Formats: sequence, C-alpha cells, structure tokens
Amino acid sequence: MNALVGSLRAIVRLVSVPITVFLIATFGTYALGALGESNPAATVLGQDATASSIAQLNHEFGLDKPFLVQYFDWLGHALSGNLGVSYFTSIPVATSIGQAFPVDLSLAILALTIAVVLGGGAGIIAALRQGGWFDRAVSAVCAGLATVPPFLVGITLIVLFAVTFRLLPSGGYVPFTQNPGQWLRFALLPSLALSAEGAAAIARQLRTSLVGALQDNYVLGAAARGLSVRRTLFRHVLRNAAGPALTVLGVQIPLLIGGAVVAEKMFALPGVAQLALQAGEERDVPVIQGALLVTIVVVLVSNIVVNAVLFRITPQARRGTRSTRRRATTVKPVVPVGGVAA
Amino acid sequence: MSARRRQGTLRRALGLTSARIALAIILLIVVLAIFGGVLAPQNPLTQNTNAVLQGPSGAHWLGTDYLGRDVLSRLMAGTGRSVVGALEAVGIGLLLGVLPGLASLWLGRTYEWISLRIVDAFMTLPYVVFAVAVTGFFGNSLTAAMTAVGVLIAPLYFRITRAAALGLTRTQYVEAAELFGSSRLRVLRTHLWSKILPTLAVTTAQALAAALLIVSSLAFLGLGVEPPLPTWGELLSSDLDYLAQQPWAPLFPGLLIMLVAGALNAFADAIRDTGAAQDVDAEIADAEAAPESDEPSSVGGIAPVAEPVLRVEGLRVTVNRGRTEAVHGVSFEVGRGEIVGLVGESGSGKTLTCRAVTGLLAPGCERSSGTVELLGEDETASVDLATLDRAGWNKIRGQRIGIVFQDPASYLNPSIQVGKQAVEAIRVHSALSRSAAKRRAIELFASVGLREPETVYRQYPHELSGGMAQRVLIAIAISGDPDLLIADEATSALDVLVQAEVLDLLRGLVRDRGLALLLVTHDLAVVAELCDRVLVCDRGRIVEQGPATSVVTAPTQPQTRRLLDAARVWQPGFDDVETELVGADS
Repeated sequence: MNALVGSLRAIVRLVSVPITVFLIATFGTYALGALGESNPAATVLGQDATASSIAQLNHEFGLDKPFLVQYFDWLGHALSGNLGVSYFTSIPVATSIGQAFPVDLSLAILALTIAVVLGGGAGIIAALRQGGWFDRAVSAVCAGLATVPPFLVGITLIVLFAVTFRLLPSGGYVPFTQNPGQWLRFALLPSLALSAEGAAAIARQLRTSLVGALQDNYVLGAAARGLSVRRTLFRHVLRNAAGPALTVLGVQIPLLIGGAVVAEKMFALPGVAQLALQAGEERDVPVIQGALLVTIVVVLVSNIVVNAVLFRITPQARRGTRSTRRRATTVKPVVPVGGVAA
Repeated sequence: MSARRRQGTLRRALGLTSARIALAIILLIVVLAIFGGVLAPQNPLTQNTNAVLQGPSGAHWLGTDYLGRDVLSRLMAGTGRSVVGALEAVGIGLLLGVLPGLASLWLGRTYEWISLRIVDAFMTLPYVVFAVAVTGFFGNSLTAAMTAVGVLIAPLYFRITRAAALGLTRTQYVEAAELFGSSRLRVLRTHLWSKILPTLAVTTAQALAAALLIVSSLAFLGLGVEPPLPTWGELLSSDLDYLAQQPWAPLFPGLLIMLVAGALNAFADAIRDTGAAQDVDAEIADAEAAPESDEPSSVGGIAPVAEPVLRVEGLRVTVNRGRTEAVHGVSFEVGRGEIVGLVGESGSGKTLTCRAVTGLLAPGCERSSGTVELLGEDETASVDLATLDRAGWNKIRGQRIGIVFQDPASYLNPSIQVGKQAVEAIRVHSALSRSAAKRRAIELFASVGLREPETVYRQYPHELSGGMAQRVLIAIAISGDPDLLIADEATSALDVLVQAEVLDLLRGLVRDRGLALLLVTHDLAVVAELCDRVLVCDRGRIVEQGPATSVVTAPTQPQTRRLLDAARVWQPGFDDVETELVGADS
C-alpha cells in the first residue's frame, strides 16, 4: 500500500515537471513568434494588398485576437492534433510534419543505437584498460570531436564514402516502410555523422563513472565472493555506472535534434528540419511553431523515458525520502558543461 | 582578495606548457579579430572571375574561392565577425544566467522553482532549431542568430553559478559568518566571487569554444550569414558547395576553428586542473611505511600448527609498481578451528599481507616472492595460490576462502537487494536452482543471527545497520562452506555492543564449522577476546607471535607494547589489562 502511494507520488513528480516545462517552453516560443516582425498577411498578399484585405486575412489567421487568446487557441488545437495552416501553402502544418517526422525518428533511433553501441563499447574498454593505448586513443578522439564543427564529421564521411569510394549515396531518402534495405543505405551516413558527438559524450562519461565505480568497495566485495570480472562488470558495475551515462544521453537528445537539422540539409533528407528551415526563410510562423512544438515534445518525452529508466535501476531514487544513511548515491551529478559542446 | 586568488590560479595554470600555447593562440586570434581586415594581404571582397577555385600559390597562399577571392584574406578578415558573434552569444548567456542563478538561492522557494522550470524549458530547445526559429521570426542576421544561441547558453551559466554558490553556502565558514550576523549579501560579496570566478572563467572558455562551433554550424545552414561579409563558418560552408572541385578547401577554415576551439578548451582544462591540484596530492599519500632493511621477518619462522589450512612462507609484497617493498618476507600458518589475529598499526603491512593471500592486491601492488598455500585434506585439495590465474581465483574465493571487510555495506552492490547478491554468490559456486539458492540464502541469513531473514533478503544495503550488513557479508562469505575465513578489520567500524555480537558469531562459526579464521585488526582488545594466537606486524614484518594471552599480558617487543599503550590511552583507569582492552573502543 505504502509502496503504491510512493510509486504514485514518484509518477506525479515524474510528470508534473515536464508538463510545467512544456507550458513554459511553448508559451515562450509562441510569444517570440508573436513578437516577431513578420506580417504574414502583407507578405502573402504582396505589394498591392490593401489595408482592408490585410485586415481580412489577419482576421482569418486569428491574428487580431488578444495574444493570450491566440496562445490558448493554438495550444488547444495543438493538443487535439491541429497545428494550424501554413501561411503560404495552406497545407495543414500537422500534415507536413506528420510526413516529415518519421524521417527524423528513424534516423534518430539509428543514430542513438550507433552512439550507445560505439560510445558504450569504447567507454567500457577504455575503463577496463585504463591508461592503455586504447584508452588514450578514445580520450584523444573524444577531445578532438569536441573541437570539430559537427558538420565537418558529415562532410568527412561524404568525402570518404560517397565521393572517394562511392560506397554509399551522399544524399536522398527512401522510407523504412517502403524498403528497409534502401533506407539503411541512405540513412547510414547521416546517422553515423549524427551519432559521433553522442558517442563521444557517452564514451567519456561511461569511462569516468566506470573508473570511479571499479574502485568502489563492492567491486572488491564481488571479487572476494569469487564472481568473475565479466559478471561483476555487466551485472554490478555497469548498472551503477550507467546512471550518469544515461543522464548524458538525456542531455544529448536536444543536441541530436540540432544535429539532425544540419544532417538533413547536408544529406538532403525530407525531415522536419528542412521544413523548418524553409519556413524560417519564408517566415512562415505556424510551420516554425509546429516544428518547435514537435522538438519540445520529443525532448521532454525522451527526458521522461531517461528518468524512468534511472528510477528503475537505482533503488535509492525509488525509495526517495527513506533514510539514505549509506552514501550509496550512484548517480553523480553530471557536469553540465557537456551540454554546451554542441 | 578575490582578484589575488584568481591571479594565483591563472599564474599556476600558465605554468603548464599547454596553457601557454593555448594562450598564445588565443592572443593571436584576438589580434587577428581586431586588425585582421587591415593585415589581410588582399581585399577580402575583391572578386576575380579569371582565378576562381585556384589551389594555393604564391599569389594566393591558400588559394581562391568560387568568386576568385583570396581565401587567406577572407579568413583573416572574417576573424572579427566570428569572434564578435561568439562573444555576443556568450555575453548574453553570462548576463542572463549568472544573476538569476545566484538569485535562485536567495529569493525563496517559489522563485527557485519557477526559475528552475524556465531553465528546463530553455534546455528543451536545441541551439540550431531555436536559431532557425528566431531568425524566422525576426529576420536573418548574425545578431539574431547569436542572440538565440546566447539565450540558450544562459541556462548553463545559471546552473553553474547556482551549483558553485550552493556548494559554498553549505560550507561551514559561510554558515559561521551568518551566525556572526553577516547578512547574506555581505557573505556573498566577500566569499562568493572568489569561489565562483574561476568556475565562470572555465565555463566561459568552454562556452566560447562551443559558440564558435555553433556559429559555423549555423553558417552552414545559412543562418547569421550576411554576404559578402566573411566569417569562418561562412567560408567553411561555401567551400562545401565545391567539394567535388576542391575537396581539401574546407580544411583551412575547419582547422582554424578546431585550433581555436582546442586552445580555448585546453585553457579551460588548465585552469580547472590547477584548481583541483591540491586534492590529488592527498590521494597519493596512501603508501605503506618505508622499509629500513629488507631482511626477512626474524621472529619464529613458522610455528607448528596441528592441521594447517593456510601456509604463508617468505611473502614479500611490493607497492608503487615494484619500486617499494612493503611486506618483507612474512611467514605464518593458520590451522583448522584456530583463530589467528594479525595485528599492527595502519601501514604495518597487515592488510597488504591479507590482500596478497586473497589475490586482491590493488593495481600497482604485487607479490614479489614467497609462497601462499591453501592446504586441503589430501594432496589434491591443496592449492598453491601463487600459480592461480583469474579463473582459478574465482574457484577459490567465495568457495574455499571467505572474506569479510570493514564498512561491510560498502562491499555490497548498493542497487541490488542483498538477498539477490547472496543468491548470486551461491549460484556461481554451486549448481543450485534459483529457488533452492534462495532457500539456502535465507537459511544462511538465519544462521548468522539475522532476525526476519526474509525481510532482510529483500532489503538494499543502505537499509541495513552496520551489524546487520556485517552479518549479511559473513553469511555470503560462508555460503561456499570455506575452509578459511579472513576478516579484515571486520568489526572495527561497529559500535562496542554490536562488535561483541559479531565476534561471538565468528567464534561460533569457527567452533561449529571447524573454520580457520584469520582476523586482521589493529585492535588488541579484539585479539585478547577472541584469538588463540596472535601475530604482531610492524613495518612489513612479523615482530612477535605467540598465544594471544601471553602476547597481550607480557609482550616482549617494543612495537607490541606500543600497540598496547595506544589501547590504554583511550580507556585509562583500569588495572586489569584484559578488561581494559575489551573496553577499548576503536
């Protein structure tokens, strides 16, 4: 019973913050859009627009209402899946985003998988062979990646695999649902480019927390019980060291989305970012708002998922308020500096 | 005062070669940013349609671009705008982040909660996406793009300032200052800045590096680009359209950006490392006492033991990767049903000896010579522990040697129920099914005197008292029915009553199971209470050994007497040695 109440409270805590953050973020971005100097009616109607036709169109767009009413109208519609209509094409924003989003989603999943596998593997091996050549190489690559403009990785990949060896296409897209094999051909290079930064961050964080965890007494305790190194690593140490790496993964999600914008442009992918970029040039506010909304929701949902996983693997977090006499905190605070190395 | 301290940090940081090189690069860039346009060998905007996309030559050191403009000149002239863009973003971040971050600690809970949620909200927005939106809303310019980035850098400053200040308000001297009536603002002025300025310096260097990379990413997307004015990012992205003709062209702006970002990061690292340098020294000082000679232990050789389980002969252990010998030829035996105490001050080599016996020496420590044998009932059951590999050890530890430690809960995985950890150990060493192993674990828990063993089974280490955790550890240690149990300061961290209970438990285990028990401790009271025989360790040698009662009541060696005196100091006023020692608290 108590456990149930505890879980409920934890779930409320898990969800109440993201909802508040969602409201603040959408309100802020919506207000920015309204503050912007775009006058869509004048832009759409062109030079020979009369004042009355502009007012007429502004009325149709709902721009003559008080700002707060506009925001809540927009939010209410957005929650029911209606993101408004593009100023220029009159295509519903939800429709264009619905078409573009799967591109990003499939790409992001592939990129995250690559980042976790590459970064996780490198971090684990580096921690086990601490001070060895592999460890030093991983450190060097991670430090190097932090000073490279992210899109340079993509360019290098294009020059290598598309221009020089002609193994993979340098751009274009086939949906996964249409032809998984072709999808992989087109998605591989952009995903690799996207994953580089995340892989480096995961490798660095996992190595640091593993090196710390390997010195913890319970590792010695496991050895004293005759558990093999492999079992100790996978059943005990990783579980405790994964927390900070997971947190880093959470921080990486916005960066991944930012990187996706660049990757979409570089590899000519028909995703949400291309939509937003074009809308940005045309100052098509509803489309930009839609793209921002999708971004905010994706980031918040991934944060909830990361927190839920953290919550599952660390019993201390679950038991929350209970006495924490042991300093068993396994989730060390992440240096937030990682967040800026975009 | 704060300025002087920071200067100290800076000067120490500049002692590093990497920091000096980094600073030189940063200064060079500052000069280029200010005078780049003047110093440029050619006009960066002059087009020459007869010389487009040329390679490096005498006239154009780095070649020309798609409009025939001189690349070197454009790089030099573009430095200013690139640097200003990055500075603008970081400056906005500083302005918007630092003061609200400090305020979040002083303006009460509501403000704190709301400001944290606003920070969270900012952090949901990727730099690139937000810059796309802001330039869409307000028109495309370098200022608009960098303002967007700056707004998103603000949460970083907010969090870093807040964390640094939070750490400070929890230190005792600030609490003391407040107790003495200083107002919070005064405390802030006098103590805070000197603490958080180095942190802010590190963050700013890193943020500048990041901003530089972001500017170039945005330029690739056409954001913040105002042609024909050059920036590094714009140069880089325009090169990309001509990759087929000049695949090497992105190298020049790319390397320049990498160089500057790398210098800024190296500078940040140097400041941070010198700030933390003092702590590292303290960590290193865990060396064992330096040896005076390397003669082997003189006392006693091996005292004959009726039915030996463990035989150690001439054991030497080196630390510091073989540079220092810390255990100099230790020999002893432990027999079945016998309790042997290994006593000594910290640094006497007793823990190293016991780690060498269990094959658990820390990295850098090594058994350099001597033998360690685990003796069984017949020849085949005897093992020379020196010959074991990792897999071999896994069959010995937990099965024939059980080990328990000081601070027992820390030797259990904090995030797994203790019962499951017992089951794991049982199943690794036996063929029991999961449910049988669980039954066995609960039996073991009951047998070591844990009341409600089934409740304990489901608990996590941090939920157990010290005594309960030690019982759990003992239960796991004896789960493989070992011949030898090694207790390394196993009762030192417990309070006196619990200590007595655990000692009772150990005595019972030896009696009922015929275990051999090697008790490593610095506490002669424990030795007097429990042990049959005692070995006194000093500076890596065994200096005295014999029956516990005679060693404790009539020590022959000065080192032993010193240990006894140390025990006496804490509990003066008793004449009976035995009582005195039992009462002595660790």
